[in-house]
Amino acid sequence: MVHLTSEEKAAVTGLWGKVNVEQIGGEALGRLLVVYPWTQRFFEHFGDLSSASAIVNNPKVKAHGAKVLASFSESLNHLDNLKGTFAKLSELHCDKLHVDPENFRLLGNTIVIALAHHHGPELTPPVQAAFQKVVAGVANALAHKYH
Amino acid sequence: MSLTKSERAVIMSIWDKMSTQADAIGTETLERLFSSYLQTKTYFPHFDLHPGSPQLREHGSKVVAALGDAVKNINNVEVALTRLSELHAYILRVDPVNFKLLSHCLLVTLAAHFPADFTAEVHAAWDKFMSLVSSILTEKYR
Repeated sequence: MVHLTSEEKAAVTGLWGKVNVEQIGGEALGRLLVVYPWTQRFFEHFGDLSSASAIVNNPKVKAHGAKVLASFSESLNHLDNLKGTFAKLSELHCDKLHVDPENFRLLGNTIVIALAHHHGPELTPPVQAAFQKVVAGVANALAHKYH
Repeated sequence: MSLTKSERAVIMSIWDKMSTQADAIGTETLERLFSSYLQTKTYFPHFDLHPGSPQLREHGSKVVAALGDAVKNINNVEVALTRLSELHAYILRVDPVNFKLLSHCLLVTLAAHFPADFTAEVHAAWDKFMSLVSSILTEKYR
């Protein structure tokens, strides 16, 4: 469960209202694959990942990033029950996708960096802190059903 | 882990921009660290950590200056950071997990201050550089 103060909740929803979810999602996933190249192991079927430029422009990367962030976006409406919200996705990531939960933490941080990149002045230290709580909560929820 | 030629070039060019706002970047990095990762404050019981505190500014400035030394000696970062490596190992003994947290907060600060320049490639080069600096600062721990 994520404990946000009412100011933190307001800060998160306030900034999120301005976010282009598709764009930020694509960028966050692209940065993950460029900065931590070993994460490409899950995406061998995505085509050309041979350079930073190929990765950030890859349509499958952008589409998948958008999908991931849409799910994240939905979670902002359920901050008091992230574990329940992500139960099925957690099972999927463990049983079918075999993703090390460390990757959720890495992606959470590239989401924050993508937000800083596009909304720098608004992502003040307290707003970043609120988002760090959210991404940590989502990462934990996605790891919760692992066995 | 070593930096490629193009990574070094990228790191140095961003440093040139950073150096004109070094104090602000250092201070903001620390503010972000202490806001997002409350446990990091345990290393600074002797500091006033409120935003705007002169100690925060002074320390942020010190941290970024040290990164600048590393950049200026990018072909031999170990030598440039020898004194700081010993300081962290024998005196400060900051737990190694905290270097990743500080690195992340620096990258967030750079992304916010230099949106046009902070491409995925630049992000990758600086993340790698911070990882190199961190491993040098912790290499004498045991």
